[in-house]
Amino acid sequence: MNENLIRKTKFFWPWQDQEEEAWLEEMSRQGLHLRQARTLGRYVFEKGAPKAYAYRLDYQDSLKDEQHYLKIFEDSGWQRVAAPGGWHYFRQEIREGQVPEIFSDTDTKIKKYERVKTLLASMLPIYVLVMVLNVSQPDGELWGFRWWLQACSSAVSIPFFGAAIVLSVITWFKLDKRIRELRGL
Amino acid sequence: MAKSDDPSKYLPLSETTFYTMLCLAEEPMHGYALMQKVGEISRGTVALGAGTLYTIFSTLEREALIEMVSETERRKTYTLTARGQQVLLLQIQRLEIMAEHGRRIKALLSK
Repeated sequence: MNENLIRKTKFFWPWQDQEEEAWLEEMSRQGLHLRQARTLGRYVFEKGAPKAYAYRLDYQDSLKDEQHYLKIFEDSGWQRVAAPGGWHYFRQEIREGQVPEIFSDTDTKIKKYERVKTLLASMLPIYVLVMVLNVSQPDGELWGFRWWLQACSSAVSIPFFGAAIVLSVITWFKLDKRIRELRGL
Repeated sequence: MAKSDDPSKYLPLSETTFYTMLCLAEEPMHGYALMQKVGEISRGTVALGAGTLYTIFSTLEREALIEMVSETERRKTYTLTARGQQVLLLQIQRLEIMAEHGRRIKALLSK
């Protein structure tokens, strides 16, 4: 890897998007500019001169026309740096202390969090179904091969899908809380 | 009960949605021109962020209140549909009532 590039791993939950933006801004102030972002918080930064950048994250899981979407952001001075797992990382230089925003009203800010909630809600039944299918007992054969296969499958499925379900529900409620706070403003 | 296609179900429009529809009622426009114009006619009180504008475009297009008329260099030009005009007119009527009472109270308070 190029010596000007630095890898960092730092995980953020979907309700911590503002913390993530602030962290990326701080990195740029130290001369480490986001070059690449992958899922699970795997970032690549490029060393350079310190810069005052504003970073903003949007969430879009099904863009019908990505070029049209990007053009609107480019037209307001945003550059998209990365787009892992539906999260679009935009940045723009802060000029004359004017911090640019991608959302200029509460309604559309709320809709971003609602898109994440919708995705979580649509995944939940799938997690439950797959877990139940993996755990359900085959008939007969108390100690046969299929029993062992089933036991192993359950040992993996229950913690894995159980965690996915619990984390999805927690994220859903955290985002719901964020939406209610925004509404209250 | 209001019918599901009753245009009043969209009311009240947010300030940004209102200005977007207002501009498109006058002439078809793409996002870039809209951002400039909204800043201008709202006398700087409303700024359209890119994420906000994209969300408004998507929502209004899905509800058939605006439609795309052309596309050049990845910029889509939209116009208000007849249904969009209906919704906008209803919103303007609401605003007129508000402004009328607002002016009366403003006069009262500034005495």
